[in-house]
This record gives sequence, C-alpha cells and structure tokens, in this order.
Amino acid sequence: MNRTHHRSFKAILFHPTAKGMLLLIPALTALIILFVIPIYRIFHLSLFDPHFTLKYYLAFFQRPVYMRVMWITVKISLIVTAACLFVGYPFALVLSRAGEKLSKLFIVCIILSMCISLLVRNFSWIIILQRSGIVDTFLMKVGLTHHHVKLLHNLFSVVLGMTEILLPYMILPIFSVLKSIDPNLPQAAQTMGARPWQAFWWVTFPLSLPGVYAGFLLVFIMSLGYFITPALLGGAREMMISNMIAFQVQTVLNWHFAAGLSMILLIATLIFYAIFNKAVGLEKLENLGV
Amino acid sequence: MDVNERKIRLIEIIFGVLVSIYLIAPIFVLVPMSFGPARFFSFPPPEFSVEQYVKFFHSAPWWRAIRVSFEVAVMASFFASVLGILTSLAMRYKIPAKGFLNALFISPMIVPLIITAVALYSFFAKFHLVDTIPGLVMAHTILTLPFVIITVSATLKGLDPSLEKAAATLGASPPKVFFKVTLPLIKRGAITGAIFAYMISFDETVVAIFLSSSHAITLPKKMWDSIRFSIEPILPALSTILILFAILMLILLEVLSRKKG
Amino acid sequence: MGKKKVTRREFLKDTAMVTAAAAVGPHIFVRKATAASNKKLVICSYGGSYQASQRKAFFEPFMKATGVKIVEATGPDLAKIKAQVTSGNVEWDVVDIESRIMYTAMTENLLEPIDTNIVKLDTIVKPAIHKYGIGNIAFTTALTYNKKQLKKAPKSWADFWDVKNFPGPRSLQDHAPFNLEFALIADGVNKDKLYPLDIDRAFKKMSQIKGNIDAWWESGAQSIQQLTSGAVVMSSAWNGRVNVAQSKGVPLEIVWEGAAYDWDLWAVPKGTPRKELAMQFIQFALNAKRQAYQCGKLIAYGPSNKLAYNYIDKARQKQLPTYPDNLAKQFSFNSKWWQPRLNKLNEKWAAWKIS
Repeated sequence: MNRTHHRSFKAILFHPTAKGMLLLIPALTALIILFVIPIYRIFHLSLFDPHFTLKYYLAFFQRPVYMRVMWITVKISLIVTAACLFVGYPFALVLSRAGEKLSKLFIVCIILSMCISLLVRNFSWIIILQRSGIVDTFLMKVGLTHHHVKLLHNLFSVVLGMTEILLPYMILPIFSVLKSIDPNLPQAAQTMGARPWQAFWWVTFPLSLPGVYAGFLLVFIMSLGYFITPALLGGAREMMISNMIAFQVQTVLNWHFAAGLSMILLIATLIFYAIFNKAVGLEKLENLGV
Repeated sequence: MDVNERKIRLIEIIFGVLVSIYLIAPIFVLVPMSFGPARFFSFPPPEFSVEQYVKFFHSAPWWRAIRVSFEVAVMASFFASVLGILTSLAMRYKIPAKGFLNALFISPMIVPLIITAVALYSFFAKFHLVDTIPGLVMAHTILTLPFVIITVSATLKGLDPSLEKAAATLGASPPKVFFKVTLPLIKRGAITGAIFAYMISFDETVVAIFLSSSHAITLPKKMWDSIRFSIEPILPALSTILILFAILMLILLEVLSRKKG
Repeated sequence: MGKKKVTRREFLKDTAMVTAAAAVGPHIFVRKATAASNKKLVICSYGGSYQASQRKAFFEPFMKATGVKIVEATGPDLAKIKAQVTSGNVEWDVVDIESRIMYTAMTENLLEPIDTNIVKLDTIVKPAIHKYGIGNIAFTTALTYNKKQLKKAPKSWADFWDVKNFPGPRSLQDHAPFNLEFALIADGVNKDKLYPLDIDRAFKKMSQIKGNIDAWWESGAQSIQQLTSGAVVMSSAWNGRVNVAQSKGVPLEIVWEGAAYDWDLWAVPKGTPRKELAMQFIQFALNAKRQAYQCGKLIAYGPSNKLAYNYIDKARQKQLPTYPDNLAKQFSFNSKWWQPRLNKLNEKWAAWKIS
C-alpha cells in the first residue's frame, strides 16, 4: 500500500481510507440529515421548554399513570417474549429434526408469514376474535359456551397478535444454532447410556443457548417499541409506551412530554440492544433471517 | 423406529403443522372471506360472490393509495440501494470508528419506529414535507437502508477482493472496475436488498401514519384508517391481493437464492 | 410504467373535461374560481356516511360549478391543525370541526376569522354563528342500541349503566367530553344543571361501567360498525349516522332522552394560501337548498340555515336533532366550559382508562 507516496491528488484519492470515506459520504449525509438531526431535535425538545428543564422526565417518574404504562409495556413484552420462546423453541427443534420436505414447508410458512402485510395480519385477528367472529361462533355452536366470549381488545388478543408477528424472530436464531450442532454429540451421549431427553437436556439444550439469548433479546427489544398491534387489538388497558407517545402528540399536543417519553423508550431500547450486542454480536444479525 | 419414537415423530409433525397454521392464519381466514358478500363479514361466507373485488377495483381512492405506495416504495428502494451499496463498499476499507459507523447505519432498524415517526413528523413540518411523496421517500430510504447494507455486506464478505485488484492493475478505471467487476459480483445481494427495501417500504405503517394524511396517502395508512375507523367491506379482498403479492415476492426471492446455489 | 402514463393521460383528459364543463356550464356560482379551474381545495371532515353526504351535497356540486378540484381528507384532529399552522404548512383549507375543537383552535390562534363579505349570515341561526367558524349542522350524540341484541329497550343513560337488566358489551367514544355528562345524568344529575361538571363524581360513575365497555370508538363509522355487527349491544353514537344505518335496514334505535346536542362547524385554518376560495366554499355549503338536500335526504342532522327547513318534509323533520320534541329531551353540550379544561381532562381520561 506504499504506492500512495506519489504526490498527485489522485493518489490521495485512491488511498484506501480516503476512498472508503468518500464512498461513505452520501449515505452518511442522508443519515445525519434525515435521522440523526430529527432525533436530536426530539432529545432537545425533551429537555428545553424553552430553558433547560427536567420536568418532563420528572413527570414520568412522579405520575403513577406513566409508570403504569411503562409497566404494561414491560409486562406485555415479557409475556410475548415468553410465548415466543415456548412456542418457538420446540418448533425450531422440530424444524431441525424434520425431513427435508417437511422442514422446507415449515420454513416457507415462516418466511411467507413475514412477507404478508402487517396490517393484514392484525386485521385477520380482529375477524377471528371479535364477538360473533370465527372463534366465538365456533365455541357457541360446539356448545362449549352459551354466552359470547370476549376475546378481542384485551391482553390475550394483543399477545396472540404480537406473538404471531414476532415468532419468526425467535425461531430463526434458535434454528440456525440447532442446525449447527454436530448431530453426533447427542447421539454419542445416547450411546453412552443417556435417554433421549437426557441427551437433549445435557447436550443439545446448553449448546443451543446462544440462539435462545439472541431470539429472546431480539423479540423483547422489538416488543418494547410496539405500536400497531396494541392499538388495533388492545383494549383500554393495553396502552404501551409507543401508544402513549402517539396519544401525547396527536391528542394532548404535549410535544415536550412526548419527546421525554420517546427518549426513555430509546434509552431502554439501546440498553437492551447493548446487552444483545455483547451477548450475540451485531454482525450475526444477518444470520437471524432479518 | 420403535413405536415410541414414531409417536414422538407424529407429535412433532402435528405441533409443527399447528404452529405453521398459526403463522399463516390470515390466509385461511381472509382468502375465503374475500369471496363473500361485501355487506358483512361472516365465516364461512354464506354465498360465493366477487362483489368485494368489483367494489375494490372501482374504488379510485384505494387505487390512488396503491399508486402512492408503489411510487414511494420504488423510489425509496432505489435510493436505499444506491446508498446501501456505496456504504457496504466503503465498509471494506480501513475507516476510523468503523464499529460506531456500522452501528449508526443499522440504527434506523433498532430505534423504535414511533420515535422515528414523531421525529420526522416534527422535522418535516418545518420544510413542508409532511404529506408529500418526497417526504415519504426520504423517510423510507432511511428506514430501509440498514436492510440493503446488511444484505449487500453479506455478499461482499464472500467476494474475493483480488478480482477487483487484478482488474485495477490491468488498467481499468475505478468506475469501470465498479461496473464491470464489483457490481456483477454483488448483483444478487443488491437485488435482494432492493426487494427487501421495496417490501418494507410498501408495508411501512407507523411512519406513514404520521407523515401521510390527505395528498400522499399510502396503502398502509389508508388500511390503518379503514381498520380503525370504518372497517370497509373490501378489506378481505384487498388483503387477499396483498397475500398473493407476498407469495409472488417469496417466489422471486426463492428464485434469486436458487441462482446462488 | 406504461400503465402509469395511461392513468396520467386519463387524468388530464378528466381535468380538461371538467374545465370545459365548468366553462360552458350555465350555473357559475362563484365568480373568481372559474378562472382558476386548475385550482384545488383540501377539505377535512369526519369521514364515513357523514362525509359521503357532504360529498354529494357540497363537494361534487362545488367542483362542477367552479372546476375547483376538491381533495378530501378525514379526521380533522386538533394536533394536525396545530402542526400545520405552526409550521406554516397548511394543507387543509377548510375543516369541519366540532365546537369544542373550534374553541380550542380559536384560543390557540389557529383559525382565520370568517370573511362575512363572502359568507352571508342573515339566514343562519344564531348559535351557529361565531367569529372563527360557522355552524354547518347540529348533531346529537345519543344512546343507541341494537334492537336485535336487547330484549328490553333502554330508555335512559341510567339503563346504559344497568348491566343486570340490559346485559351485553357496550361502547363509548374514546374521550372525556360527552361521556362525563352522560355519567352524571346516569347518576341522577338533572340535565339542565350539568355545568359546571362534577368531575370526580363523573369519573366515579364511569368506573362503574368501565368493565362492560368492550371498545372505545374513535370515529363515527366505528360506533355504527360495532352496533351493526353486534360486537356491542349499545353505544353512544351520532344520530345522523344511526339514521343512515337505519335506512339500510340495520335495526338500530336512538334514545333522545339525555342526549347531547352540539354543532359541527366550517372553519378555515390560519395561513391557508386558498383562504378566499375556502370562504367561497363555506358560502356555497351554507345554501339552504343544498343543506336541505344533505339533511333531508342524505343524513339526519339539523341544518344551520333557517330556510333549509322549508325544503324538508314534516316526517323527516321529526328525525332531526333540532326538532322541538327532540330538542326538549336533550341538553346542549357546553363547549365553552370544556375548552380550557380539555387537555387536562383528556389526560386524566387516558390515566383513568388504563388504571
């Protein structure tokens, strides 16, 4: 690389670092103008009105309703993440053990579900769960119940809807880790006298933990900022922090407070993301089917 | 295979099929429903009818929304692809603070959408960009950029840098090297990234809720209004069309990845 | 891409035709607008069957008469108006808003004063006239129920709260105004002595019914949709929309007793570049015959132009909020009381909802 000692301007231009920086300029400019500055303005808005003040952050911690929203957000996120784990892990396991044709079919279903419009998927749950909807009618016809069952606009419908959307983000990392485990290892354990479930519990499961961490954090982080599903499938009590931000901006017109809430959500997300990065590594994101 | 093992297999298959059905439940519900009458939703539909489709095809506002979404998605995916390819190429060189820059470029994917939406809404209002196609294109370019960078970077990782070096030493100019050597090599990653960007932009709802209202209404924004406020009877038909569209995209992606192998 | 060209060409063709029609058309209602046939006007209203009636009665005739292209938007919320006005980027030229929104917008200096040189007010009823907005229709928010879903007919808000005798899920609008009044009436407060509202008492009463509210509606169309589908057995709803659903054969019934009566107004956001055209539209839409067509044939609201009643038949008048018998059973919603408290109470509402 010492060829760059030539004095000409062209030579400087072709210095690898300079070349790299030049290539970076367009996207970096766009990102700074259209992303960094707008978000910085929100940050500024949360602290200045018009002079420096912490009142919008203090309001968050002092008024019980906002702590409640935060608690609801964390609660829903945890339930959804757990649901994804309890459905996603066995499914990934089945997927890794299934024959070629079957596993292909399952994977097509996963990817297809990810390709379908988010609103379409939320809408279908409304149709399925609403009063006199598919499930309600079915339950009454079968005779399991004589009254209408409330299935929509509650915690259940939000968790069902969010899990359907976020499940692939749990399945894919676990599956990719399970797939990479040497099949001889659990087999060896079995030939040494372990029962199949013992072989799974002592050999396969510990080896698959990195996938579990990745899926867990990914789903949890995505849940924290969820907006559409709680708004469409949730009832009064399923107001998550994103919905609160929208409410502050659209109805109450309190931009400063909305900015404060946004910063709190952002900081929470970044903290969990840093943990994710430490535990899993950013560069592995591309293997997660994202 | 003993009986026990066969039983386990069967349970596994049943479980797998059930989860798969759960994942694509919208297809089983909305497709049959779309062929019912347009007056009310009931499942299974009481009679066969294409009324919803007829209504949909004659509805100018819905077509306008589709056109807006199409235009925005094409432009956003184009800009995101160009910027994403350049960035991915840049990342191969020695650059100061590379880790930080990498994280910065991925950040639109990590920052909760509501924050991006609110931030852009307040920022764009200053420049008369709210409710305009350029505003939406800019927002979606930034949102889809990480996906292009990730897919193109993945292709670049497998790329042998000696090919480009060889071309350069043989006297090819940098643009020539790019168009004749690099681009064909990363073509597949770039196309996949562009398709991803297109799909994400076409389906993007949260930012559109804030940025589009009367002039530049995107399809998701119109669907959002319809689901929340009026439940128009054409929604199952529209959903079916979008599902069909998703299947086509899936086939396209599959064909692309086949070529690889 | 070929397809796009065709649509654009068709669009041009359409525009040309509209322009030509306007030029040779015998009825030129608005003087200046004809010259600007490529002009447009953005109007934001409340969507659903209400906006459909406005489209037929006002928007389409206005486009025909002037060649101005009307672009429609829905959901005229205050935040959007504020964002547009404060950024100097006004996209809505005319808005149809409820009176409390008009008062808030007015105090925040977000509206243009009505230009009485263009908008003639001599036949408009008094309560509809304001400096920053002119009443368009009087509407009623009333307890509405689905006859098929209830064995007994509810007669008052007290029945709405009576879950034992009137079982089934209910719905209410997702905000504090109106609901607090209804709660107080259900709690036994005389409808003529509501204001100033006893807020604590109202919220306490609201808490009694909260568990039976299945959905909080945000748009008029949504309330009707829920009642029609049987998702709820009763709900608060806007009488005009109920009337439209009834005419389609949906078994809905209105309870006028204890209902709230209020105005929807035309207003113009401050700083619109098409202010004059906006005023011309308002003048156009206040025309007695056009209002009579909207309220008499399309949707049962009360027109603000006195003369409009001359063109509406007796049977229809009985369905309007402004019909004396109906009026006597209702209370007048007090926007002035609400205006300074709106944000605070909305926030309290949100907190109450999730608690």
